[in-house]
Amino acid sequence: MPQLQQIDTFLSQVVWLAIAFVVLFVVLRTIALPKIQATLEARRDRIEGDLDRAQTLRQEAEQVLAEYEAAMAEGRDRAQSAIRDAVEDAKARAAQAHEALAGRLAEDIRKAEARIETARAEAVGNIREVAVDVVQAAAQRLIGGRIARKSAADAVDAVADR
Amino acid sequence: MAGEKQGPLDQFTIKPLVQIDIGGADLSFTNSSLAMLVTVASVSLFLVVGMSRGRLVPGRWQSMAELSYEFVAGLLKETVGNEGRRYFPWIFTLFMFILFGNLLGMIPSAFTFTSHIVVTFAMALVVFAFVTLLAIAKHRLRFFSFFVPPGAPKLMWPLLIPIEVISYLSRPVSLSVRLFANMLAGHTLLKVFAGFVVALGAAGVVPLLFIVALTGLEILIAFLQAYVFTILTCLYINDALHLH
Repeated sequence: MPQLQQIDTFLSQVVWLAIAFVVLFVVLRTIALPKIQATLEARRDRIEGDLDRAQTLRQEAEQVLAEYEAAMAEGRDRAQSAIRDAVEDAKARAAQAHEALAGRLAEDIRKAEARIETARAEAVGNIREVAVDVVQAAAQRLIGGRIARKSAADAVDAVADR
Repeated sequence: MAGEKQGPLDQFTIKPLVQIDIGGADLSFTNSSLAMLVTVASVSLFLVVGMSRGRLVPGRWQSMAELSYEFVAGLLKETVGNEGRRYFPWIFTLFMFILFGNLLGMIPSAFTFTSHIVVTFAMALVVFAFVTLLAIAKHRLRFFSFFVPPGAPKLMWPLLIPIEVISYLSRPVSLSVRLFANMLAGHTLLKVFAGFVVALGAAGVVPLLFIVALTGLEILIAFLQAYVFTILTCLYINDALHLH
Protein backbone atom coordinates (compact mmCIF):
# COMPACT_ATOMS: atom_id res chain seq x y z
CA MET A 1 0.00 0.00 0.00
CA PRO A 2 1.71 3.25 -1.11
CA GLN A 3 0.18 5.08 1.86
CA LEU A 4 2.36 3.08 4.24
CA GLN A 5 5.29 2.24 1.96
CA GLN A 6 6.27 5.65 0.56
CA ILE A 7 7.36 6.96 3.92
CA ASP A 8 9.97 9.17 2.24
CA THR A 9 7.13 11.23 0.70
CA PHE A 10 5.46 11.96 4.05
CA LEU A 11 7.36 15.18 4.70
CA SER A 12 6.58 16.49 1.22
CA GLN A 13 2.89 15.67 1.60
CA VAL A 14 2.58 17.35 4.98
CA VAL A 15 4.51 20.44 3.87
CA TRP A 16 2.43 20.85 0.73
CA LEU A 17 -0.70 20.20 2.75
CA ALA A 18 0.26 23.03 5.09
CA ILE A 19 1.05 25.35 2.16
CA ALA A 20 -2.20 24.53 0.35
CA PHE A 21 -4.32 24.84 3.47
CA VAL A 22 -2.82 28.17 4.51
CA VAL A 23 -3.14 29.59 0.99
CA LEU A 24 -6.78 28.51 0.88
CA PHE A 25 -7.38 29.96 4.33
CA VAL A 26 -5.90 33.32 3.33
CA VAL A 27 -7.90 33.45 0.09
CA LEU A 28 -11.15 32.59 1.83
CA ARG A 29 -10.48 34.82 4.83
CA THR A 30 -9.53 37.90 2.84
CA ILE A 31 -11.66 37.63 -0.30
CA ALA A 32 -14.41 35.02 -0.32
CA LEU A 33 -15.83 35.15 3.19
CA PRO A 34 -16.13 38.97 3.49
CA LYS A 35 -17.89 39.02 0.14
CA ILE A 36 -20.34 36.29 1.16
CA GLN A 37 -20.96 37.92 4.52
CA ALA A 38 -21.53 41.31 2.91
CA THR A 39 -23.96 39.81 0.39
CA LEU A 40 -25.91 37.91 3.01
CA GLU A 41 -26.02 40.95 5.27
CA ALA A 42 -27.16 43.21 2.44
CA ARG A 43 -29.92 40.74 1.66
CA ARG A 44 -30.98 40.49 5.29
CA ASP A 45 -30.99 44.29 5.62
CA ARG A 46 -32.97 44.62 2.44
CA ILE A 47 -35.56 42.09 3.58
CA GLU A 48 -35.84 43.71 6.99
CA GLY A 49 -36.10 47.14 5.35
CA ASP A 50 -38.83 45.88 3.06
CA LEU A 51 -40.67 44.36 5.99
CA ASP A 52 -40.37 47.62 7.92
CA ARG A 53 -41.64 49.59 4.96
CA ALA A 54 -44.52 47.17 4.49
CA GLN A 55 -45.36 47.60 8.17
CA THR A 56 -45.28 51.39 7.84
CA LEU A 57 -47.43 51.28 4.73
CA ARG A 58 -49.90 49.02 6.45
CA GLN A 59 -50.17 51.41 9.38
CA GLU A 60 -50.66 54.29 6.97
CA ALA A 61 -53.35 52.36 5.14
CA GLU A 62 -55.10 51.60 8.41
CA GLN A 63 -54.94 55.26 9.36
CA VAL A 64 -56.35 56.29 6.00
CA LEU A 65 -59.11 53.73 6.39
CA ALA A 66 -59.95 55.07 9.84
CA GLU A 67 -60.00 58.62 8.48
CA TYR A 68 -62.19 57.53 5.61
CA GLU A 69 -64.62 55.83 7.98
CA ALA A 70 -64.70 58.90 10.23
CA ALA A 71 -65.39 61.11 7.18
CA MET A 72 -68.09 58.70 6.07
CA ALA A 73 -69.72 58.76 9.51
CA GLU A 74 -69.54 62.54 9.63
CA GLY A 75 -71.03 62.80 6.14
CA ARG A 76 -73.81 60.44 7.11
CA ASP A 77 -74.53 62.50 10.21
CA ARG A 78 -74.58 65.69 8.23
CA ALA A 79 -76.85 64.19 5.61
CA GLN A 80 -79.20 62.96 8.34
CA SER A 81 -79.36 66.37 9.98
CA ALA A 82 -79.83 68.07 6.62
CA ILE A 83 -82.71 65.74 5.87
CA ARG A 84 -84.18 66.37 9.30
CA ASP A 85 -83.85 70.14 8.87
CA ALA A 86 -85.42 70.00 5.44
CA VAL A 87 -88.31 67.90 6.71
CA GLU A 88 -88.89 70.24 9.64
CA ASP A 89 -88.64 73.28 7.40
CA ALA A 90 -91.12 71.76 4.98
CA LYS A 91 -93.46 70.85 7.82
CA ALA A 92 -93.23 74.37 9.24
CA ARG A 93 -93.88 75.91 5.88
CA ALA A 94 -96.79 73.56 5.25
CA ALA A 95 -98.23 74.45 8.64
CA GLN A 96 -97.75 78.13 7.91
CA ALA A 97 -99.39 77.84 4.53
CA HIS A 98 -102.18 75.82 6.07
CA GLU A 99 -102.69 78.47 8.74
CA ALA A 100 -102.67 81.30 6.20
CA LEU A 101 -105.18 79.47 4.05
CA ALA A 102 -107.36 78.70 7.03
CA GLY A 103 -107.22 82.37 8.07
CA ARG A 104 -108.14 83.54 4.57
CA LEU A 105 -110.98 81.07 4.39
CA ALA A 106 -112.23 82.12 7.83
CA GLU A 107 -112.10 85.73 6.66
CA ASP A 108 -114.02 84.87 3.52
CA ILE A 109 -116.56 82.93 5.57
CA ARG A 110 -116.88 85.81 7.97
CA LYS A 111 -117.30 88.33 5.10
CA ALA A 112 -119.83 86.09 3.43
CA GLU A 113 -121.76 85.68 6.67
CA ALA A 114 -121.68 89.46 7.18
CA ARG A 115 -122.93 89.91 3.65
CA ILE A 116 -125.67 87.39 4.25
CA GLU A 117 -126.54 89.12 7.54
CA THR A 118 -126.67 92.49 5.82
CA ALA A 119 -128.78 91.05 3.05
CA ARG A 120 -131.07 89.35 5.56
CA ALA A 121 -131.40 92.57 7.65
CA GLU A 122 -132.07 94.49 4.46
CA ALA A 123 -134.61 91.95 3.39
CA VAL A 124 -136.25 92.01 6.84
CA GLY A 125 -136.22 95.84 6.73
CA ASN A 126 -137.84 95.81 3.30
CA ILE A 127 -140.46 93.31 4.47
CA ARG A 128 -141.30 95.64 7.40
CA GLU A 129 -141.71 98.59 5.04
CA VAL A 130 -143.92 96.51 2.83
CA ALA A 131 -145.84 95.24 5.86
CA VAL A 132 -146.33 98.81 7.08
CA ASP A 133 -147.53 99.81 3.60
CA VAL A 134 -149.84 96.77 3.57
CA VAL A 135 -151.17 97.71 7.04
CA GLN A 136 -151.83 101.33 5.92
CA ALA A 137 -153.49 100.14 2.78
CA ALA A 138 -155.55 97.52 4.62
CA ALA A 139 -156.58 100.01 7.30
CA GLN A 140 -157.66 102.52 4.59
CA ARG A 141 -159.82 99.93 2.98
CA LEU A 142 -161.31 98.84 6.26
CA ILE A 143 -161.84 102.14 8.00
CA GLY A 144 -161.69 104.37 5.05
CA GLY A 145 -159.24 106.74 6.53
CA ARG A 146 -155.55 106.87 6.61
CA ILE A 147 -153.71 105.81 9.74
CA ALA A 148 -150.47 107.27 10.77
CA ARG A 149 -147.53 105.58 9.41
CA LYS A 150 -146.13 105.43 12.94
CA SER A 151 -149.11 103.47 14.24
CA ALA A 152 -148.89 101.08 11.36
CA ALA A 153 -145.23 100.53 12.05
CA ASP A 154 -145.93 99.91 15.73
CA ALA A 155 -148.59 97.40 14.86
CA VAL A 156 -146.25 95.55 12.48
CA ASP A 157 -143.49 95.48 15.07
CA ALA A 158 -145.88 94.14 17.69
CA VAL A 159 -146.89 91.29 15.44
CA ALA A 160 -143.37 90.62 14.15
CA ASP A 161 -141.88 90.42 17.64
CA ARG A 162 -144.34 87.81 18.74
CA MET B 1 0.04 -5.35 -6.09
CA ALA B 2 2.86 -3.15 -7.30
CA GLY B 3 4.83 -3.95 -10.41
CA GLU B 4 4.47 -3.61 -14.14
CA LYS B 5 0.80 -4.53 -14.09
CA GLN B 6 -1.53 -1.76 -12.81
CA GLY B 7 -3.11 -2.88 -9.54
CA PRO B 8 -6.06 -1.32 -7.71
CA LEU B 9 -3.67 0.32 -5.24
CA ASP B 10 -1.32 1.86 -7.80
CA GLN B 11 -3.60 4.86 -8.08
CA PHE B 12 -2.40 5.92 -4.65
CA THR B 13 1.27 6.03 -5.63
CA ILE B 14 2.98 9.36 -4.98
CA LYS B 15 4.84 10.47 -8.10
CA PRO B 16 7.23 13.40 -7.90
CA LEU B 17 6.56 15.96 -10.61
CA VAL B 18 9.25 18.49 -9.63
CA GLN B 19 12.16 17.36 -7.52
CA ILE B 20 12.71 19.80 -4.65
CA ASP B 21 15.38 19.14 -2.06
CA ILE B 22 15.89 21.62 0.77
CA GLY B 23 18.66 20.84 3.21
CA GLY B 24 18.45 17.13 2.49
CA ALA B 25 14.69 17.06 3.06
CA ASP B 26 12.64 15.79 0.12
CA LEU B 27 9.94 18.42 -0.47
CA SER B 28 9.21 17.40 -4.05
CA PHE B 29 6.14 18.76 -5.77
CA THR B 30 4.15 15.58 -6.39
CA ASN B 31 0.84 14.51 -7.89
CA SER B 32 -0.53 14.86 -4.34
CA SER B 33 0.73 18.46 -4.10
CA LEU B 34 -0.80 19.16 -7.50
CA ALA B 35 -4.16 17.77 -6.37
CA MET B 36 -4.00 20.00 -3.29
CA LEU B 37 -3.26 23.11 -5.32
CA VAL B 38 -6.03 22.22 -7.80
CA THR B 39 -8.35 21.88 -4.82
CA VAL B 40 -7.28 25.29 -3.48
CA ALA B 41 -7.82 26.84 -6.91
CA SER B 42 -11.20 25.14 -7.34
CA VAL B 43 -12.52 26.22 -3.95
CA SER B 44 -11.26 29.77 -4.52
CA LEU B 45 -12.82 29.93 -7.98
CA PHE B 46 -16.05 28.38 -6.76
CA LEU B 47 -16.46 30.96 -4.02
CA VAL B 48 -14.82 34.06 -5.47
CA VAL B 49 -16.26 33.82 -8.98
CA GLY B 50 -19.57 32.55 -7.66
CA MET B 51 -19.88 35.57 -5.39
CA SER B 52 -18.29 38.07 -7.79
CA ARG B 53 -21.62 39.68 -8.69
CA GLY B 54 -22.93 39.43 -5.15
CA ARG B 55 -26.47 39.79 -6.36
CA LEU B 56 -29.38 40.28 -4.01
CA VAL B 57 -31.28 37.49 -5.74
CA PRO B 58 -28.61 34.86 -6.30
CA GLY B 59 -28.19 32.74 -9.40
CA ARG B 60 -27.47 29.02 -9.19
CA TRP B 61 -23.73 29.34 -8.71
CA GLN B 62 -24.03 32.09 -6.12
CA SER B 63 -26.70 30.04 -4.35
CA MET B 64 -24.32 27.10 -4.07
CA ALA B 65 -21.54 29.31 -2.72
CA GLU B 66 -23.91 30.86 -0.17
CA LEU B 67 -25.32 27.44 0.65
CA SER B 68 -21.86 26.08 1.51
CA TYR B 69 -21.27 29.09 3.75
CA GLU B 70 -24.60 28.78 5.51
CA PHE B 71 -24.24 25.02 5.81
CA VAL B 72 -20.95 25.29 7.72
CA ALA B 73 -22.15 28.32 9.70
CA GLY B 74 -25.27 26.40 10.74
CA LEU B 75 -23.18 23.38 11.65
CA LEU B 76 -20.89 25.46 13.84
CA LYS B 77 -23.79 27.31 15.47
CA GLU B 78 -25.63 24.08 16.25
CA THR B 79 -22.66 22.30 17.78
CA VAL B 80 -20.71 25.12 19.43
CA GLY B 81 -23.11 28.05 19.59
CA ASN B 82 -22.23 31.69 19.12
CA GLU B 83 -18.81 31.30 20.74
CA GLY B 84 -17.83 29.18 17.76
CA ARG B 85 -18.01 32.08 15.31
CA ARG B 86 -14.38 32.96 15.96
CA TYR B 87 -13.30 29.62 14.49
CA PHE B 88 -15.59 29.80 11.48
CA PRO B 89 -12.95 30.71 8.87
CA TRP B 90 -10.83 27.73 9.90
CA ILE B 91 -13.75 25.30 10.01
CA PHE B 92 -15.04 26.55 6.68
CA THR B 93 -11.61 26.21 5.07
CA LEU B 94 -11.29 22.72 6.51
CA PHE B 95 -14.68 21.64 5.20
CA MET B 96 -14.22 23.08 1.71
CA PHE B 97 -10.68 21.71 1.45
CA ILE B 98 -11.69 18.14 2.35
CA LEU B 99 -14.93 18.29 0.36
CA PHE B 100 -13.30 19.50 -2.84
CA GLY B 101 -10.32 17.17 -2.30
CA ASN B 102 -12.71 14.24 -2.06
CA LEU B 103 -14.93 15.33 -4.95
CA LEU B 104 -12.08 16.19 -7.33
CA GLY B 105 -10.59 12.77 -6.50
CA MET B 106 -13.74 11.24 -8.01
CA ILE B 107 -12.70 12.48 -11.45
CA PRO B 108 -11.24 9.42 -13.20
CA SER B 109 -7.43 9.32 -13.06
CA ALA B 110 -7.34 12.25 -10.65
CA PHE B 111 -5.36 11.86 -7.45
CA THR B 112 -7.16 11.85 -4.09
CA PHE B 113 -4.88 13.36 -1.47
CA THR B 114 -7.37 12.56 1.32
CA SER B 115 -6.74 8.85 0.67
CA HIS B 116 -3.33 9.22 2.31
CA ILE B 117 -3.16 8.55 6.02
CA VAL B 118 -0.33 10.98 6.53
CA VAL B 119 -2.44 13.84 5.14
CA THR B 120 -5.57 13.03 7.13
CA PHE B 121 -3.52 12.31 10.24
CA ALA B 122 -1.70 15.63 9.92
CA MET B 123 -5.03 17.44 9.72
CA ALA B 124 -6.49 15.46 12.61
CA LEU B 125 -3.39 16.07 14.69
CA VAL B 126 -3.59 19.82 14.11
CA VAL B 127 -7.26 19.76 15.11
CA PHE B 128 -6.41 17.68 18.19
CA ALA B 129 -3.53 19.93 19.23
CA PHE B 130 -5.57 23.08 18.66
CA VAL B 131 -8.55 21.78 20.63
CA THR B 132 -6.38 20.58 23.51
CA LEU B 133 -4.48 23.88 23.73
CA LEU B 134 -7.76 25.77 23.53
CA ALA B 135 -9.18 23.76 26.40
CA ILE B 136 -6.07 24.20 28.56
CA ALA B 137 -5.92 27.92 27.79
CA LYS B 138 -9.54 28.35 28.76
CA HIS B 139 -9.83 26.04 31.75
CA ARG B 140 -6.19 25.66 32.99
CA LEU B 141 -6.00 22.73 35.37
CA ARG B 142 -9.74 22.24 35.38
CA PHE B 143 -9.22 20.83 31.90
CA PHE B 144 -8.20 17.54 33.52
CA SER B 145 -11.61 17.21 35.12
CA PHE B 146 -12.73 16.41 31.56
CA PHE B 147 -11.36 12.91 32.10
CA VAL B 148 -13.57 12.33 35.12
CA PRO B 149 -17.09 11.41 34.04
CA PRO B 150 -19.55 13.57 36.00
CA GLY B 151 -21.52 11.71 38.64
CA ALA B 152 -19.29 8.62 38.57
CA PRO B 153 -18.56 7.08 41.98
CA LYS B 154 -14.98 7.62 43.20
CA LEU B 155 -14.51 3.87 43.39
CA MET B 156 -14.81 3.69 39.60
CA TRP B 157 -12.27 6.46 38.89
CA PRO B 158 -9.22 4.20 38.55
CA LEU B 159 -11.08 2.37 35.80
CA LEU B 160 -12.89 5.28 34.15
CA ILE B 161 -10.09 7.83 33.99
CA PRO B 162 -7.75 5.67 31.90
CA ILE B 163 -10.63 4.85 29.58
CA GLU B 164 -11.45 8.53 29.17
CA VAL B 165 -7.79 9.41 28.56
CA ILE B 166 -7.39 6.69 25.95
CA SER B 167 -10.66 7.73 24.33
CA TYR B 168 -9.44 11.32 24.20
CA LEU B 169 -6.04 10.40 22.80
CA SER B 170 -7.57 8.16 20.15
CA ARG B 171 -9.57 11.08 18.72
CA PRO B 172 -6.97 12.09 16.10
CA VAL B 173 -6.54 8.44 15.13
CA SER B 174 -10.24 7.78 14.61
CA LEU B 175 -10.74 11.15 12.92
CA SER B 176 -7.94 10.54 10.41
CA VAL B 177 -8.47 6.83 9.83
CA ARG B 178 -12.19 7.32 9.15
CA LEU B 179 -11.55 9.72 6.26
CA PHE B 180 -8.51 7.87 4.95
CA ALA B 181 -10.17 4.43 5.07
CA ASN B 182 -13.34 5.61 3.37
CA MET B 183 -11.41 7.20 0.52
CA LEU B 184 -9.05 4.23 0.22
CA ALA B 185 -11.84 1.64 0.23
CA GLY B 186 -14.04 3.49 -2.24
CA HIS B 187 -11.32 4.15 -4.78
CA THR B 188 -9.89 0.64 -4.45
CA LEU B 189 -13.33 -0.91 -4.97
CA LEU B 190 -13.90 1.21 -8.07
CA LYS B 191 -10.57 0.07 -9.55
CA VAL B 192 -11.21 -3.59 -8.69
CA PHE B 193 -14.53 -3.54 -10.49
CA ALA B 194 -13.00 -1.57 -13.35
CA GLY B 195 -10.59 -4.51 -13.71
CA PHE B 196 -13.57 -6.88 -13.93
CA VAL B 197 -15.07 -4.86 -16.77
CA VAL B 198 -12.01 -5.56 -18.92
CA ALA B 199 -11.59 -9.16 -17.78
CA LEU B 200 -15.20 -10.25 -18.37
CA GLY B 201 -15.49 -8.89 -21.92
CA ALA B 202 -19.15 -8.64 -22.98
CA ALA B 203 -20.36 -9.62 -19.51
CA GLY B 204 -18.39 -6.63 -18.24
CA VAL B 205 -21.57 -4.58 -18.55
CA VAL B 206 -22.64 -5.89 -15.14
CA PRO B 207 -19.61 -4.55 -13.20
CA LEU B 208 -19.79 -1.41 -15.34
CA LEU B 209 -23.32 -0.74 -14.10
CA PHE B 210 -22.09 -1.48 -10.61
CA ILE B 211 -19.33 1.09 -11.04
CA VAL B 212 -21.87 3.70 -12.11
CA ALA B 213 -23.93 3.06 -8.98
CA LEU B 214 -20.82 2.93 -6.83
CA THR B 215 -19.61 6.26 -8.22
CA GLY B 216 -22.83 7.85 -7.07
CA LEU B 217 -22.36 6.33 -3.64
CA GLU B 218 -18.74 7.50 -3.53
CA ILE B 219 -19.78 11.08 -4.31
CA LEU B 220 -22.18 10.86 -1.39
CA ILE B 221 -19.38 9.48 0.79
CA ALA B 222 -17.05 12.25 -0.39
CA PHE B 223 -19.54 14.77 0.96
CA LEU B 224 -20.40 12.74 4.04
CA GLN B 225 -16.78 12.28 5.15
CA ALA B 226 -16.05 15.99 4.76
CA TYR B 227 -19.17 16.64 6.83
CA VAL B 228 -18.18 14.09 9.50
CA PHE B 229 -14.64 15.45 9.78
CA THR B 230 -16.01 18.98 10.15
CA ILE B 231 -18.77 18.20 12.64
CA LEU B 232 -16.39 16.17 14.81
CA THR B 233 -13.97 19.10 14.80
CA CYS B 234 -16.84 21.34 15.89
CA LEU B 235 -17.82 18.91 18.64
CA TYR B 236 -14.22 18.80 19.87
CA ILE B 237 -14.16 22.60 19.98
CA ASN B 238 -17.42 22.52 21.93
CA ASP B 239 -15.87 20.03 24.39
CA ALA B 240 -12.84 22.28 24.72
CA LEU B 241 -14.99 25.33 25.46
CA HIS B 242 -17.51 23.69 27.77
CA LEU B 243 -15.72 20.55 28.95
CA HIS B 244 -18.71 18.40 29.87
